[in-house]
Amino acid sequence: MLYDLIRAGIASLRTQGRRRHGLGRQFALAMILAALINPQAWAHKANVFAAAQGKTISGEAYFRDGTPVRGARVTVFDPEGKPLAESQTDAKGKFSVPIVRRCNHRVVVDAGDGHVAEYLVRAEEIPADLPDKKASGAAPVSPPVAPPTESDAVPTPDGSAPPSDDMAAVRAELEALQTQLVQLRRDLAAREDRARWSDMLGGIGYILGLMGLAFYFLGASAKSKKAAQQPEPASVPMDRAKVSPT
Amino acid sequence: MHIPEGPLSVSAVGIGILGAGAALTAAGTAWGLRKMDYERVPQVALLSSAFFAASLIHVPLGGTSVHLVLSGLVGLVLGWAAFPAILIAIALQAAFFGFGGITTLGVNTLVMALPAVVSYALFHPLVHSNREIVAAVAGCAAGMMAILMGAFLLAGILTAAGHQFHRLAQTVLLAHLPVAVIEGMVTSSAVLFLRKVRPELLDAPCVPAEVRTLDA
Repeated sequence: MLYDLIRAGIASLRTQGRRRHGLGRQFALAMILAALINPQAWAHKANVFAAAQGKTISGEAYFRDGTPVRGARVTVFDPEGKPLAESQTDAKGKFSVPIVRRCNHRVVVDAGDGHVAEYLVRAEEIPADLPDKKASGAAPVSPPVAPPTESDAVPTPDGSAPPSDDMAAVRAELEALQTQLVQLRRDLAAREDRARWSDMLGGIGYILGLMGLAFYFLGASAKSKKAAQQPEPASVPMDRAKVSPT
Repeated sequence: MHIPEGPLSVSAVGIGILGAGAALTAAGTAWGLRKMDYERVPQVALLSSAFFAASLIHVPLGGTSVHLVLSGLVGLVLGWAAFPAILIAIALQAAFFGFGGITTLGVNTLVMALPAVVSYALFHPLVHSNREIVAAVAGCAAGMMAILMGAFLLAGILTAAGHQFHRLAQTVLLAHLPVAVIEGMVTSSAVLFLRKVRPELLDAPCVPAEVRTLDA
């Protein structure tokens, strides 16, 4: 699209090269400049990614091309729909809210101009030593049965008292792992959300296909209309009927 | 400018608005299809593609970002055929990029296609003027008016939909003022460009050839 704009601008400049005066020339230049200055950035949908780190949910809201959503209102709802916490995104689009309960948290970011983004932080990510008021759908009351690969829940003490030094070391490692995991998930979300050339070309392809269909249908109806209006070419002309010998 | 899937389908008023939008868009699209003859089909496809792709070119503005809409240009060139063109482009945007939703297709199309048709009605004769400056100003006015009217329509719909949207409606109006200015410039330059390179694109879509005249 950018390339077409630039080409169009250059073509327009060329066709007006011979004229000394012409508003079109200035506007063609303006068009080229506008095409060049526009950041090659795509679209217009807001997204939010959030993860539980210890007893905080921290997250980041961004537009599809990566620019952060600044100063947006963040509300966190519990499974029953009651707001649990409110916050605001900072200049980098980041926010954090404390957690008090082990349940699914629905994070809603409202940029205020129509952009709304949601993300669900599951109860399994939240440390098990937080209470959950009722038995909500996905929050087990017992200690977490976390899959072995996702080790971002702090392991609960099982009654015996391990030495506190080892515990601290393990926790530090787990937190480091968790930060890396959060970053990984954030990268994944950003990659999925980025609009791509292929999507745009696909859409234009659909439009061209519909154009072909329209041609077909309009052509078929035009042909039948023409056939109905004109006399049949195969019909015998009037004068020949009189002249033909018997 | 796209209303997403959720906000309007939760209240009775919202569902009524969705239904009215769908009905009006269906009527406009039917009328646009009737007006669309064989020669106009490639132009409709071209402008529909331009409209579809324009929403991907966005400019960061303040804390948010706005994108080109091109509804003024689409209206100037296509007239009533803007309805099917914009409907298809918005449907594809919803399918490919997730802008807007399926239930809000009617409302979103109405918000953008109705101003396009109005700008056609108001400014199309001026675009054919022999004087370039008149055509440039008409193009700019058409672009700006299409955006502003669309913003008003959107704000009106949001206000009618419920009290919780009032602040959003005001924000929408304010946010689209710079877009209107940019859109005016882009439409104006596009009109001048088309006059030089492809003047037949600007021919009156719904008026037969004998009736068209060049005014001074």
